Amino acid sequence: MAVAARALTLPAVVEELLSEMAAAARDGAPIPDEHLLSLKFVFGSSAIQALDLVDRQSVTLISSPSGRRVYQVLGSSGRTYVCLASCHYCSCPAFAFSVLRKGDSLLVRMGRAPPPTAAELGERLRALVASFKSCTKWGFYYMWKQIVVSSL
Amino acid sequence: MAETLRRVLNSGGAAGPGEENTAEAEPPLLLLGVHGSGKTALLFAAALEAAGEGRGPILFLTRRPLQSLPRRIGAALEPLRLQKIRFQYPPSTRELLRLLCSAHETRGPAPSLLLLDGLEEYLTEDPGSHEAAYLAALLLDTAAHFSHRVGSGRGCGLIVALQTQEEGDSATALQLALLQRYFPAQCWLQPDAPGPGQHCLRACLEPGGLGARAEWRVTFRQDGEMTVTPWPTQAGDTSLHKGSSSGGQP
Repeated sequence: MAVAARALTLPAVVEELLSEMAAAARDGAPIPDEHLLSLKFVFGSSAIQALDLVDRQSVTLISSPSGRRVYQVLGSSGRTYVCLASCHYCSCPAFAFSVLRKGDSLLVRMGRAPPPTAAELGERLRALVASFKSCTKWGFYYMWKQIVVSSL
Repeated sequence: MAETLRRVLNSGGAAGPGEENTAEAEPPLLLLGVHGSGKTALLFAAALEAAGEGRGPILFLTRRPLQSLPRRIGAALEPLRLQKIRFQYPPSTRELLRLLCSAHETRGPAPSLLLLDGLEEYLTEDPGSHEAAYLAALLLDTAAHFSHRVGSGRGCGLIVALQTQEEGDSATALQLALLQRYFPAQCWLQPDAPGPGQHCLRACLEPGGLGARAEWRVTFRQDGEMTVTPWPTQAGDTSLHKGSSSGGQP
């Protein structure tokens, strides 16, 4: 659907990773540890923040009958931010700082694409979290979050 | 929209059969040049070219109405094509944002090409702010929505013209770099040494990964007529190019 060219979409490897995770979640299978660790490796602290957003159910997809969609994210401060679905944009200050101000991006090891916003990750992971509650890896997930957060 | 622009430039401004029609959408293109470098004329030529393709209408956004429609070769075909171009003149940034944000509420066939002339007139805040990114992203999102409505095929293209400064400061350079992240394809228009009674420009097209980089010489005569010829290559074999005569195209 999107007109966005390669440079504006997530790198192919990341797309694959997220697709595999979403497929596993749909099947009800536990998310492999490697996937969660890959997520952390690729996105760094953004992955933790995204998972937090998903935990708190802060990501809302607003769609109109015309098919046009936009994401609304509720920040921890209580403010809502707008995140576009078709290209990399989020109205939150973190996006302005890390993506717009800096010349390079967090994903510099993957190429020159700007990193996905926390909301983008949140939407992708929303499908996963729905099944997390019954997932045997749920305990591990919390433990992993604790380990990773404390190491930052 | 690099391919559409390339067709315009390759055919020297005349309507000609395009190269193989790409089935997928083309990346958004940023048209850059200093004041008076022919951006509006080229944008309009692209509009006419796209209007002749038999797809949806063309949406042309600009701050002020065009004083005079740029002329080009093939003027006989223009009235039919002109009807397909819809002009809108959002007077302020806020109005432009409103127009883009409510694009999904408009009825009728979705445009096959979205053009914006004079992006710099809508970037009123300081270059360091969010505004440029928001505007660029919204333009992309609007074009993506139109593509979705059009359905299969090439969807809706996007070309935006931005006036650059000859000597900019670091803030405007940063803003330009930011915009270039949203527009993978770019075409630079640089003034060239003028001939007698002519205004010459060098157009350099960088399609952003799809297709080769190419250059043309764009000449405006005093009566406003625009002719386009391929830029002479290093070896200087201009006589071998089929479009090399600047007297006009059949």
